[in-house]
Amino acid sequence: MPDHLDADAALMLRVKRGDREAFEALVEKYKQPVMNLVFRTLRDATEAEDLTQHVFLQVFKSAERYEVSAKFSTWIFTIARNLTLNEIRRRTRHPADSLDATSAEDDQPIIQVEDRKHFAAPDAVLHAELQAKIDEAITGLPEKQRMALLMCREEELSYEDMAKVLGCSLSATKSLIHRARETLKNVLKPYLRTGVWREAENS
Amino acid sequence: MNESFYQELREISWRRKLTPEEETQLQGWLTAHPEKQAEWELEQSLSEQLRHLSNAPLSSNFTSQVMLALDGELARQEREGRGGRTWLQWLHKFAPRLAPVSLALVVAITFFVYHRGNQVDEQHYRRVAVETVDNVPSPEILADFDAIEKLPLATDEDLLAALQQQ
Repeated sequence: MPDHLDADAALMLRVKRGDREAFEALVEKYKQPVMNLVFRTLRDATEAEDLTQHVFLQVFKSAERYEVSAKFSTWIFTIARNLTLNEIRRRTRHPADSLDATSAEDDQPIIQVEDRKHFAAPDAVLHAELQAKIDEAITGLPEKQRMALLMCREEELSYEDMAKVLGCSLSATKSLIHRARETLKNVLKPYLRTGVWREAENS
Repeated sequence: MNESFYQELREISWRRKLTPEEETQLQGWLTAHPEKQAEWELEQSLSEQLRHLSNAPLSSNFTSQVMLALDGELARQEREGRGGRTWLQWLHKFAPRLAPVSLALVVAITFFVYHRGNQVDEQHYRRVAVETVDNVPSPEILADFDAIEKLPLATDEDLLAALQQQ
């Protein structure tokens, strides 16, 4: 076993030998990052959760093929991305399936996200509005830009890891993030300039 | 500090907050380039918002659901594996006994196909032969053929008239 083996890779080696506890530990650690990625692409909480579950089952089933040299986070995000793309393709072929997709006129957030912070009433309203606008803007990004931007939030992944998941060069990955951010800045400019977020964070 | 270092700090700020040291360097650069101040503030504001983006909703029992689904999957695989193994075991046990029977069956089928093919060929030949015989004119018509052949051409009309009278 290599000396530089990280904790996740060590767990994955145990999974390879059929260790359920190791698998459970990986699920516990990665369920939220994977769900965040899938949900912000599919925009349907139930479908996103089903797909996230499928990602983990795929991890278990493919454990035999896992190479220790590969970083686990890169591996699982690649699986998540591929399955999400498959789902998007399936939806394109059967558009009637996504009846609960949002409409452009709908101002309401699609899901009610539990707010862990307690804001004063006006701040809470602004916060919810801002959250909805950001989610909407992220959903509107092209697939690769969205993936790059969302993976950027994951501390586990370096820019090189992101490039591997996206299957492009390091500079192309940074360019994707840059373009995504430029789009978001243009869309969210009125909100960004109010400084509402910072005030809410500090309260 | 130059433009490329500014870009580098910008890329770092996409992932995490700048350290006090990095922040000091950046402020120094921004003082020298006030035209970049507004751009940097917008950049920072966006990073802050993305950093605090809410987590997607996830069932509290998600991990148990995954483990349950995994049990189901493993049970299904086990069933399929067992099914496959049973069939293989059966084949392994009976294959030696079935081999001579299979061989006899193959020979019988080959013989039948060959024999049947011969029968079909023979029937076809007979039908063709009958059809050929049927097409030949009656021998009575040709009874006087030699005599007619020897006659000079000028008498043909008389001969035809005579034949028509018959």
